[in-house]
Amino acid sequence: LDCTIAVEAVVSTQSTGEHGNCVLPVENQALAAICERLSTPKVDTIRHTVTETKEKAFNRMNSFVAKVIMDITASARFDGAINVDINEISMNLVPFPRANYLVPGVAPLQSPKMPQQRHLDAIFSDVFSPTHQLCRVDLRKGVFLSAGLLVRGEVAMSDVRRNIDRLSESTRFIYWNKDGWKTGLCWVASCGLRHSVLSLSNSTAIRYTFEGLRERFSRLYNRRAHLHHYLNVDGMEAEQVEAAYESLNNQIALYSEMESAEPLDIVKPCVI
Amino acid sequence: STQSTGVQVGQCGNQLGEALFETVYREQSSNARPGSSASAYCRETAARFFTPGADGGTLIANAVLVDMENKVVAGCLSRRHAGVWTYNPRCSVLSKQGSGNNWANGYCNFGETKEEEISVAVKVLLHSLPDLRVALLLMSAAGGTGSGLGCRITELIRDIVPGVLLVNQVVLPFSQGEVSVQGYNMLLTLSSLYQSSDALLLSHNDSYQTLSRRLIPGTSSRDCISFREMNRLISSHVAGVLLPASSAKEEEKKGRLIHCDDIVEHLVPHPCYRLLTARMMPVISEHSRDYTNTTWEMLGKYSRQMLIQNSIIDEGLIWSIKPRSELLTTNKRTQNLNVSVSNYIVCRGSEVALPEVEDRFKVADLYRNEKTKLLCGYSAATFDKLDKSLFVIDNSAKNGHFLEDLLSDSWLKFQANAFIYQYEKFGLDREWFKESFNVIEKVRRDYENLLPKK
Repeated sequence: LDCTIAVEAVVSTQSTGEHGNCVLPVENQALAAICERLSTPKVDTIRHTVTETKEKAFNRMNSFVAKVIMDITASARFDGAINVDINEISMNLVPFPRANYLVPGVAPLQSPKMPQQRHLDAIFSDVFSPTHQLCRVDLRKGVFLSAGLLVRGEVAMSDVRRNIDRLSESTRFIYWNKDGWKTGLCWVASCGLRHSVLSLSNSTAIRYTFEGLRERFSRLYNRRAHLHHYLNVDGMEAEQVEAAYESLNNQIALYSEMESAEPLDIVKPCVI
Repeated sequence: STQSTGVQVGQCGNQLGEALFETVYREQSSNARPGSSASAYCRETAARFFTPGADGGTLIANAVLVDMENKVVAGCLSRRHAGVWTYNPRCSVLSKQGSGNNWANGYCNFGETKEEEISVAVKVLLHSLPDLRVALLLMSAAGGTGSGLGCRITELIRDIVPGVLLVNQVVLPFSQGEVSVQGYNMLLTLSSLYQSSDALLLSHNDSYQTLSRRLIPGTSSRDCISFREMNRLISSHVAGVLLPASSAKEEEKKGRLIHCDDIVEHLVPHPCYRLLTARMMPVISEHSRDYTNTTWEMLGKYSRQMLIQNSIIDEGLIWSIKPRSELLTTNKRTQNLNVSVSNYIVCRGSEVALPEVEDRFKVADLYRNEKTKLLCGYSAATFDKLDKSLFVIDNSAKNGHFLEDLLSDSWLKFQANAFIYQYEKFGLDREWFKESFNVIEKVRRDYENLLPKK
């Protein structure tokens, strides 16, 4: 059912994007891949295929989404050195209304049964790697417009600063936001973990995801395949689908433009 | 006596304000002992910052507390400090939403919706302060409430009591960003205050963090310094300047009391120059005190060098930078000397004049157009139990240095139109920003032009 999903995805992302302050995109395939990696024991060389019910599988995938929501609201629920509420997240991470996709990354990722082994600095590195994103985006392919780090647990500001310095060396930020990090520090860690990090990446690399979506959508739409299912529903017009497609194009164009943006010649403001 | 008041706005402003009142009260009670000059000092201190409470023996801080989140102010109101002083809950305004790091939300939105409530709180306070001369507003420039709403409240107080001098104690964020939009918030704050306030006393988080590390034994650069430590330091600097001081005692005659408005008028003789920095010597931790022997000579020497280099720390000083009149050879090379519009120094621990200190600060090269503009205050009462302490508050050229980077970073963002829509949502437009850039660029240039051309 991948085909019709494309149509739905285009229409819903564009309407959410136009009305929502920020969108945290999550892909089932990314979640499924994470769950798969966690359930395979490293000791065994032979792959065990675990047949579990669909319900159980979705539960496990949803638990990651739940974690994201818990991490974002942690500051509102508990105290910390730097409290960050949702308004501040939006204010600091969304430079333009349509550049509002914040890809969530979670670290550490591990089975609840494993004792915590990852070192703090490794957690910071992991949280930006492709295997830790809840949407299939390779952040290395794009430019960061901004990045949020919501840290939970016993972590000192100096630890965060050190890691930001380290990560800054290998991450490309857009020229007008070279220091575009927003940090939150909450003393209370997630259940079962000593410390954890949620990253929210506003990166132009998301355009590749959109381009894939556009590709799949076009294949159907060019032949008007399956369209009648949607148009038979009250309130749904053909124009809306067209508009959503246009909107998606614009969004891709916006992100692409920013990827190659360069500063203009005038650096200092002139006094009039 | 000069009555003054504090207005605490936002999380930073309220935490800092509380630390300031704690410092002032500590000084008032530690200097309380028999003797006419000591009791005069204590009476004046109390009169400046507190009002007697309804039941004898208690004091109420002269303060208005405002925040758009409730935790910090609620905390301030709940405490009875040192068992003696409290805040007046009728002089507080709270909300629950927060300003989301958005200056426009603070200034335009809450500035409008909370104006009435804040006016009422201010008027309640003014009722008990008929002789109010100076209002000190405490706020940060990077967040949303302290910065935006703080600016609006400054204008409000100006409207309610036009004769009162307004001084804003503004905390500037770490340069390695805490908030992406801190540049914009700082720009909007400084530009607004330049049009509505009389003087801006600036504190940089970077400097106070480094200073804090010096004072806490055993900390390395990897350790976390809390805002609490930093606030205590800022409070020491501010209190050291505002606590009572008089001109030097001559023979049997006591010196004339220097009022808070005298200080402000002296420091800001010209409306183009309103940026102030406070510095203090000695800078030593509690446990190092027994091993340190200070002389006024030394305090004068170090604090002047700190002024020359625009530092608040007595480390890393480059002694070869000195006034031309003190150079051994006629060195034609231009020095990187700081030039002041005006300076105020206070010696706490001495009632009599100290020429070894005054002479250092009277050197003409240190002043704009070589016109020395120096006010000296003295007080027999000590500060923080330090035998001798010296405070310098200056309106000097290098106070404007940080504006250069602020302008260029923010301009890049502005040209890309980044984040502007967040401010436009609350009624600010690009014209407002352009105007702010203009105002701050002019301030930067005016201060830069004080320095001799290379």
